Amino acid sequence: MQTKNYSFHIIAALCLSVLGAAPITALFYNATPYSFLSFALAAAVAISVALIFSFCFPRDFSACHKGINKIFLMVFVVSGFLLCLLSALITLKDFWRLSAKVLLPRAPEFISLALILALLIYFGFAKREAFLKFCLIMLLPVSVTVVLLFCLSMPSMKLMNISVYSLPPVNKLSSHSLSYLLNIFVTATPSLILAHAVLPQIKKRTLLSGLLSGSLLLGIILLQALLVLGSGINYFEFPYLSAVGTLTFGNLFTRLDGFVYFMFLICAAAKITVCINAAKYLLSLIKNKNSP
Amino acid sequence: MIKKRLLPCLLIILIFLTGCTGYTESDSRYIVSALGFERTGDGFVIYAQTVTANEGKGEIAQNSYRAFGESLWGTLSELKARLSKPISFEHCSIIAISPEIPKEDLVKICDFCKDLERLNTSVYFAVCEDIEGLLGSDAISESAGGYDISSLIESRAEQTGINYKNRLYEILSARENFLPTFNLPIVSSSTDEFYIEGEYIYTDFTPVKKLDNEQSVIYSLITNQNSGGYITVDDNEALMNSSHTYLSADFKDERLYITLEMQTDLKQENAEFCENLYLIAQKLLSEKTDIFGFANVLEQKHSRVFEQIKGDYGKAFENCVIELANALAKGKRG
Repeated sequence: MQTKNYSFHIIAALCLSVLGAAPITALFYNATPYSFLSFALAAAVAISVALIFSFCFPRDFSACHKGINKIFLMVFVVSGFLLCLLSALITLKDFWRLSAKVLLPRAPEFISLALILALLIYFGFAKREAFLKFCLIMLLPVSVTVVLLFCLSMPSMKLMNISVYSLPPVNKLSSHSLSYLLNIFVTATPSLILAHAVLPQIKKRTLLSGLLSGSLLLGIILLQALLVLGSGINYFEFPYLSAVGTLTFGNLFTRLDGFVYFMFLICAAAKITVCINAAKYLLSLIKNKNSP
Repeated sequence: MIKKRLLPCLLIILIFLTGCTGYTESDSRYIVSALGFERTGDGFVIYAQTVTANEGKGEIAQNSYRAFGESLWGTLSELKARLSKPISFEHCSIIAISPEIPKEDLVKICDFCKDLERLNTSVYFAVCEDIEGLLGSDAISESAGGYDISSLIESRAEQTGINYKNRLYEILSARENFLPTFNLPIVSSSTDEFYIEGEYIYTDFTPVKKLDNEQSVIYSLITNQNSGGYITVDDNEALMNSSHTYLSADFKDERLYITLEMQTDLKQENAEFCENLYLIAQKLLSEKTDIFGFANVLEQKHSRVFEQIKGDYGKAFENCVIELANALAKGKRG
């Protein structure tokens, strides 16, 4: 594959996989006005860690077949493999929950799961290029939807929901940041492994662009949910969906949340595909005797 | 080639699959335009104002139903059982509650509404002393009474600048505050119109104060919930485009001091009008309970002061000194 030609595709895949199931769950636990600050802090730390990882992770595994490097890499590869599987399962579970409760509440549960499985099976058999093209095409409607819904929600937003008048207590900020950091880190790592290892010629700038654009879109989504619902976000199972659901145009157009369902499906499918591919790659490293 | 065609087909099917279940024609279901809740001795009464469309004749019929049960979900099942067609809450625009509903039941009602299938969380809340009469009243427009009430709330809010538009998600959000405080419009009906006669102030989900329309203006100014409009005091009307009330606080000698500085763009020739306005404000500020939700402002903006009083906020507020810093009227209490 000519990596150079696929830079934008990879940025799109990374962006969508960073989003993953985060728009569904909105990542907030016991939200306070400090929540967005905590999220921004966590995102900055996660991107920094990801960049350090991309510098330190060896491109040539055959060069690390001895001593402490071998043990370290084996631990890293095994934990990375488990992380990818866990990440895929969590995303699948979150989408299934949404599907069973909101999209198809009256249908049997396996039908709700079939929604996303059909797409995943397709990507399983399709070429990698097909998935990358899919991500590139879908990034535009996803980004437009996120930005448009944010703009439409502006009249319902309350700045006081994120206004911080004094420095938050360190323990509050750190505990919040840690929970977001874990989520973002779990989200970003598989895509990073895949982009870094499967496409070794990829530039760091491409990695950074993908992660930043994903974090930016996620930031807009979380900001919208927090600005509209405030601390009431804690009462909603799917806060972003509820925040978008408050948008109405008269008494007739009252369910604009329908527009975000496709986004949930695409982001979840992209993330699971990336996770599975990353897990497959790491598994091949574990099995391969010449590797770590 | 087959694979290339498969992906778009698959996506289209998946996106539209969600619309395939539970589809009903608009004339074969009851569309709920308004809901009402009352508490009786041993249960709840749910009122539902419905509209049904007869697409063939192009007619819309409004009806109102009620059901009684021990629990909210049980009452809803009872209501559904009485109706010959399925009901849809998707276009419900107003939820009317009785002021007699106690705190724990109001919380239950909010949770019930949040979980009600496809009810929009931006539905308006209002208080009404005669819910059956309100939801049974004929529509003024060609649609339904519920939509007339929501239009009335919107137009009055636009006209006066008062925040009458308290929605379900905002009430749910208020629960997270130190002192959940919100205001709900009091809606009534006569033979030929719906009207707003004031507001109920809820503190911790309990109605603590009933305000008339004049007091509602002042309340919105003090709580920074006025977006500008025509305000009426003693039958005199004045246009106010912007207002802001600044709150500063101090805690010394075991006493809380709150100073409010109200800034409006009312013109100088309205001096008498302003004086009346501040007199009403002072009367409201003499309340012994915190109907304005000052506790939440203190928590957010004056955390140092708040930390000292949050243990027994009720007592601290009862003894606090509130000063309305304005050249026209000044007053102290405590």
